[in-house]
Amino acid sequence: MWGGVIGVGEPRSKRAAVLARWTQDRANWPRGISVYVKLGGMGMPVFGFDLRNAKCPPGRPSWSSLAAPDRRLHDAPGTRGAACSKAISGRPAVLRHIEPGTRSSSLPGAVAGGAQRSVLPTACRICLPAGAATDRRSRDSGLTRTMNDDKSQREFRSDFGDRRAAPHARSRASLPLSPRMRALRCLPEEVRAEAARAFLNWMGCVGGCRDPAVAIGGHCRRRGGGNPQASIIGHGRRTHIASAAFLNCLSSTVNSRSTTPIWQP
Amino acid sequence: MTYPTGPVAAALFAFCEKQAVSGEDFVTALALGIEIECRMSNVLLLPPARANLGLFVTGITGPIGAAAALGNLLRLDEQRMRWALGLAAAQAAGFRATHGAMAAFFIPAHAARNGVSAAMLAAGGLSCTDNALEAPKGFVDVPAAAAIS
Repeated sequence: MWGGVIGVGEPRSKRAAVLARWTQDRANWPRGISVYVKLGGMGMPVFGFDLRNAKCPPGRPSWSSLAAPDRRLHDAPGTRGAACSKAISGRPAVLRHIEPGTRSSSLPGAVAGGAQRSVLPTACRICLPAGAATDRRSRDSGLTRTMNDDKSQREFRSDFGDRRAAPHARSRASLPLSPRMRALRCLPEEVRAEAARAFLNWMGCVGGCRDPAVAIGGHCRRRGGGNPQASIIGHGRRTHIASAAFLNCLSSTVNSRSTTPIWQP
Repeated sequence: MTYPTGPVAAALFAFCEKQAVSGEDFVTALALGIEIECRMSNVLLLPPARANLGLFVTGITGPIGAAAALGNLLRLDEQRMRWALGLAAAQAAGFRATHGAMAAFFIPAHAARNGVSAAMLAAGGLSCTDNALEAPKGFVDVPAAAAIS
């Protein structure tokens, strides 16, 4: 819940309920194959930072100034990052920003635990200390390779960005394009890559499809009927397009609204 | 600040199951929808506009981004695209007092659904005014009066 555990924002008045939910969720962490904590909004003014006034997205230097890599935040209680860390984990944790594509074995003092994947550029990660889910690392490594391998990223990019790479898709009949639309298709490579990344991130966030909110929405949808045109992701059912868009967007939003923020200077 | 990908990607992904869409068309439409949604958010929030910060901007501009993206895939002509954007803007909704409950997830989802509805209704011929976004008493004028001089 946004700002809940830190005690800021709208949930401030529901402190007891937020902490009860958080305590329960935290007890489930060691059971996870890969533990991820997205520190959404950590750079916002409400936490005492002014990253949003910067001219460009926060890169490694910015995050490093918030929390130096490998610094044991628990041992440096004077820092703001330590406040976040302690509020979230309540025990020693390491906050680090990892560049995309970094191999887990190359990280200094690699932290034991499930979360050994690299992250998208603006996300930070809390790694649990040794002892939590240590035996899950080997199971996680396959996924790590899939997500982070340079080759996989290139293939993903070519699937979405290179028109020569997808002849089967191109051969399908598309509606005719006006000249203005044709001009629009000449997107810069960076825009293509960002769009593909945004979609991948969105689809990852649809992992929230097991949230009770989605179940309630799906139940109401079933009572309303509708032609089975498009999938309700994660539920094995189909409904008409508008409702599928509704439910899949609901799924992607329950994970702390983590659909890719776009930096606006 | 807006979270543009959710409504746009959800609308596109659902549509793609009904009609075959090439990867290139998909990415183009996605980039277009995100761009439009971000620009509309900027219009509302950046000076000289002074929109109320209590607006849940994703719910306000999400339908427009989703409708623009889907309208692109539907190959709407200029007239119908204007209608689609206007119908989407007419369904803008969301304020931040909903944060902290399931309603906070509902608002972007609602934006996705409304964007789909707007594009498909416009494609079917349901008309809107041509300049619902920029007109006096329009989408931008009402919440952010100073943006239009």
